[in-house]
Amino acid sequence: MSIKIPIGPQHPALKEPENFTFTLDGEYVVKVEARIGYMHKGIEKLMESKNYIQNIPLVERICGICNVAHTICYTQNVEYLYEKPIPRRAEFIRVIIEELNRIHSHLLWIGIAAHLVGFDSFFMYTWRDREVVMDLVELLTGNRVSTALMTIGGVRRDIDDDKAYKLRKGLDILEERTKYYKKIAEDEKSLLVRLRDIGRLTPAEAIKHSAVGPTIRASKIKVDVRADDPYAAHDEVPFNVITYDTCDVFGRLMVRIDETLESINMVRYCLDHMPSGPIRIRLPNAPPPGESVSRVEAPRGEDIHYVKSNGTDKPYRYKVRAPTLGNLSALIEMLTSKGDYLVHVADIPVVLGGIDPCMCCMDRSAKFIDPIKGKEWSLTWEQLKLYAKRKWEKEGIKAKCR
Amino acid sequence: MGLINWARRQSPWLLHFNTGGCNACDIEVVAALTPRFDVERFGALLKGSPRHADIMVVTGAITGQVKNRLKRVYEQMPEPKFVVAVGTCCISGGVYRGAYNVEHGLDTVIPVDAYVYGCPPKPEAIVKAIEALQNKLKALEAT
Amino acid sequence: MSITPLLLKHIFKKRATILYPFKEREKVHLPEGFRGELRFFREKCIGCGLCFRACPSETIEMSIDEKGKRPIFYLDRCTRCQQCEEVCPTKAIELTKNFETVYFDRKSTIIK
Repeated sequence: MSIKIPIGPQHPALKEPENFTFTLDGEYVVKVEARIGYMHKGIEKLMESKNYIQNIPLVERICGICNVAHTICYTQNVEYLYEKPIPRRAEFIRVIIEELNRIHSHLLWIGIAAHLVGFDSFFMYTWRDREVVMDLVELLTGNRVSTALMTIGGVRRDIDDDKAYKLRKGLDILEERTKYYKKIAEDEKSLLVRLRDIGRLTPAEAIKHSAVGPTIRASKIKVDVRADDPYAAHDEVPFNVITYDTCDVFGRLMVRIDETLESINMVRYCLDHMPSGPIRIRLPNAPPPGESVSRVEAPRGEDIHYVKSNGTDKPYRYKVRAPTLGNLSALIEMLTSKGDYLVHVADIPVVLGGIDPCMCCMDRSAKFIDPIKGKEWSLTWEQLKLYAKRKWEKEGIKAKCR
Repeated sequence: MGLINWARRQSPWLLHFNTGGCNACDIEVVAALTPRFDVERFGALLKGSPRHADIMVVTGAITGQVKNRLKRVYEQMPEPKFVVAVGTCCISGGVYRGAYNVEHGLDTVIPVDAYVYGCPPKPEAIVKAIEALQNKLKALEAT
Repeated sequence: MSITPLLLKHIFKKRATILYPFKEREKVHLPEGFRGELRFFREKCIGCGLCFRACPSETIEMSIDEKGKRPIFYLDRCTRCQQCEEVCPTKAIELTKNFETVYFDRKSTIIK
């Protein structure tokens, strides 16, 4: 006889409201059902009623932790519509802030993973060292988390010699401490026993479920947008794509620690080779009509945006695909027991935290439920348009369907 | 009675509920528990169950689906209880004002005692909010 | 090697906590260019309305008083993005360094 456990919107292990229902057979998890949609706010519809300058803070707040990736993707997208290049110094400053954001996000995840395992000392030490990065970002942009530094045509603030000196000193402290944490992660028994062979995802399964980011790089597949399709200044700044072949949560931890060390070297290269010149160009209010797609490597994976403009100063349609949506079906695959791979109930928080879930970016799907008749179904885009048209025509309003 | 009120005031236990915002205020609330800002010097602990908590710290813009669950969690907390709204999106909707699935503020759903402005507020502001709430309760008790 | 040597070494080191509101107020990190609460200089404003078109969150509403067109600021909606300060031609809006914005009601934060 099987038991169902709901892990609901308010739970001490998950920081975000999402619902998972686990079906158990004894101590092992047999089936997982995800019910998402608690964080859906209607951002894409709201973007159609504000102009391009008012949309920059709104795009920044799609996700608070990876906000620099979304802003770079948006401003790049609109700049492709104008077909004018931005100054080279602005592209280097964008890369500096993007890599500082990646360092802060990976240190945050390492602390949370240690907290989920029960190793609170490691959590406190990594978050104390993360304060070094937060102070550097506050010095450069004015706020610890939401950096309002990008605008359409370049960046808004410059880096002078005094700030560059403090940046270098902070990076030296961070590098020494991150190397120490790497040594601990490889030897400390309490971490190894809890993280080895948990959340297994073989390379064939990873490609079939289209995982992105460190989740797929820990399964020995080399996928990184900064190397495959370079944007901003990534065609000039050298770096290595990190992969590990252990296919479990321990591999994802090591990938993130190594990526932090790579990011520190990238910021140092940008500071040494920064070109001089202006940081921003002035562009007219309304871009020419057209469509454009741009993609960016966020700390959690690949992030794609699409824009369509019709010549006015408000976008006609904007679409966002956040990285965690690609990892969701790989997550369900990781949590089901099959054959000799068994998932215990006690390992559920570690696996859920292992893909670094950022549910607020990705809540964009809906399902129709009829509680009285007990039916569930979903509609395609064409069926939804016809349904809306019929409903408004019954009330006597002739709708112009786009 | 004075001793019981003193004990309640000097050890507020917190419950944190994220109602669907962008997660930035969320990480600043968790950062307030780390060594540099340390809200535990006021006697505060982060608990997992609503039945153990005195103060509910709410972050994020309230979406249509979370509204009823939030009311149910609020009713499960025992008296005396207080609510602190952290972040601009919780107080008035913030950047998401006008979206079809977002309420215009937390005080349309449950009664609120303190408001912390900012997008996101510094963890020092959250520490100050707990201290201001303690002073307000001390002043109320003296009357 | 484990984390035990680091833990034992830290028993004898200085504390990492900043005792903010009681003692060490000057050690709070507040650099130049910090984005805090908004301040408005009414005598410099000319009523052009550029700030209204740059604000993302309905903080600014234009209204008319005895001197002409003026903005009203509802500070409980402000995201402190600094776009209004950037477009203002007469520098009538300024973002100060005040971060201790804790209030007990919403009415006291409307600037006219």
